Amino acid sequence: MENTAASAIVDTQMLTMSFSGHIALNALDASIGAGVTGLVGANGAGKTTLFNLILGLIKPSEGHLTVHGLDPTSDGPAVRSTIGFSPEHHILPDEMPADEFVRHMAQVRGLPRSEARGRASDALWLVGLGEERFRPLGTMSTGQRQRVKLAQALASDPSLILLDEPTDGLDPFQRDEMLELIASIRATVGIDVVVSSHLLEEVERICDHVVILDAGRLIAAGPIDEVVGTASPEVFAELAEGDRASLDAQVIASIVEHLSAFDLDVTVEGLTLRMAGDERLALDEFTAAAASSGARVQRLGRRRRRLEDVFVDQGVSS
Amino acid sequence: MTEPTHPQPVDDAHILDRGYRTYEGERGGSIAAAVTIAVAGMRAVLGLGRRARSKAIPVVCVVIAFLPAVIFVGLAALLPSEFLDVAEIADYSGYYGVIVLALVLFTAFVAPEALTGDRRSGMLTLYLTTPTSRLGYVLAKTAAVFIILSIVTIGPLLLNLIGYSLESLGPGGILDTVELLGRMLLAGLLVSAVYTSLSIGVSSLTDRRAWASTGIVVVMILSSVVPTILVETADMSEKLQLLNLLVAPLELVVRIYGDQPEFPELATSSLALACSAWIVAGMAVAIVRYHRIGGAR
Repeated sequence: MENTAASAIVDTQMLTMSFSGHIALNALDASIGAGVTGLVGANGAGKTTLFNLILGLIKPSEGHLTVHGLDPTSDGPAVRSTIGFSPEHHILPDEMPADEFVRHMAQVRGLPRSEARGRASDALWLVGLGEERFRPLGTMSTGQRQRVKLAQALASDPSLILLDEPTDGLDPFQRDEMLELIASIRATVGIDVVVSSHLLEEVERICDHVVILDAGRLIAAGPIDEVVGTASPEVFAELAEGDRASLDAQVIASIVEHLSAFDLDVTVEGLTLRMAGDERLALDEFTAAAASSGARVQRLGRRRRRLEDVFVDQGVSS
Repeated sequence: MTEPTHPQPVDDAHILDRGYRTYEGERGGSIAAAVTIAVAGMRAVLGLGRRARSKAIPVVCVVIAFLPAVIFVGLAALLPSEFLDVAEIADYSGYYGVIVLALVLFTAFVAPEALTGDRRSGMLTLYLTTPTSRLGYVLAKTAAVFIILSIVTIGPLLLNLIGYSLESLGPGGILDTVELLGRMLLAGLLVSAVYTSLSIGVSSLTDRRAWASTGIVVVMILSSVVPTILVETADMSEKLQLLNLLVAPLELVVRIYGDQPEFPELATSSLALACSAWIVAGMAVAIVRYHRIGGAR
């Protein structure tokens, strides 16, 4: 589904949040639609602030935000009743068994006691903790705690789940399992998910859409393929170093000139050329230009753009 | 040849994993959330569902609060009536003076768990992402402490009343009984409200139970010692005792029961005002404090 304002679950307009002079979010215009959306940015980019605004826990300094068409500032309880939230921290009540914790949270989120009990069990089975559900939380590993947090967010059957750094503290194997689990929630249960992460590779793996933030500014937002530009993979070529640098520069300049005549967008980094545009044309014309200029080609191939490239293009470090 | 064994049918078999189902039923709103949080708060205060040591101080408080009542009723039942002075034994207004240790222990060492526990265990963050509001959360926790403390302040006196009535030492008729019950409820709720507010107000300032307990004890001692010293040594007005957390509520209880006041120079209206001020101050501190904290992190 398109992340248009009409179908948006979360829609922000010029959303600004500042804390005593520090701007945490700066005039954010973005929409989050159905599916799995990745909220990406380095620590301090404004991800958690955006979650707090979505949940109606803080009031924006300027701008406007709607969640399911409601204003979280004035309709906080109504908005929060539709959202399941999994916090970043791993601190949970140590002595409480997992099923009691999940049941209690489902009940606080509005489910009757008997329904909450059944759904707590279901949610714990779904996240793979069915057999462990009577264990006290204090005896569980970080991976299991992350799953319990996911289960409590799921148990009340919300329409939207916000997961704040759900893979934080997990080893690579546990991380893979958690990512698969999150992807399967949307696929099998049909609940929309927003995942905040500073790990780009995670977001690329499981998200349909992405919202990229840097120091409170919106860098890019939309379907991940569009944002990354993976529809047309770029062609890259690495030239072998010649005897003289000036000669290398001449060779590169002549290749760039040739390619530019065919409307190919060429980026040069040292002896590496990246060509965006028609892939076939880029390959053919680079080969021709390299042959005529006498360039020695070390590597030539296609490369799919990654989310990291968007950060690099924008001059941000992830 | 041995017969093959066949599994026996079982009656209690049930499916554990039913898969994820959507929920289309009614959902409780912010009030239902607050009620659930209040019930969880009561369990936390009493140490239910936790280790035995968490239940120790609540049990000690209940024992200290109820033991005198049980002894008084026992004496009334066992001793011949000529040995009993009804007015002396059925001293409802003076009962809080007997169990003041239970009140202090509960206020300082049991009640703070209602707030501090959630901040230590990360539950506050989660609660605030549910339909409840910050104010709803504080009120739910206040209700939890208030209800448990009311059991401590009203329960023993109710036990006394029932015991004395059975021994024909209670009030004369139904009207008198109803009147005494009314005074009992009013006095018990008043004492509970003052000490609940004190506990909630101080506890809201820290996530460490030890600090909260220390703070409450310090406030109680200062409010008690400073006015007493100023009145007795600096010859200042007796009205300073209105600030005394061990005097003002208990003296107002005496007035509620219509008994002989211990501090006749303090007007009943001033005592009511002082107690109201303590209640409002404690709640205001907690509400303002929780208006600023919490949220996803």
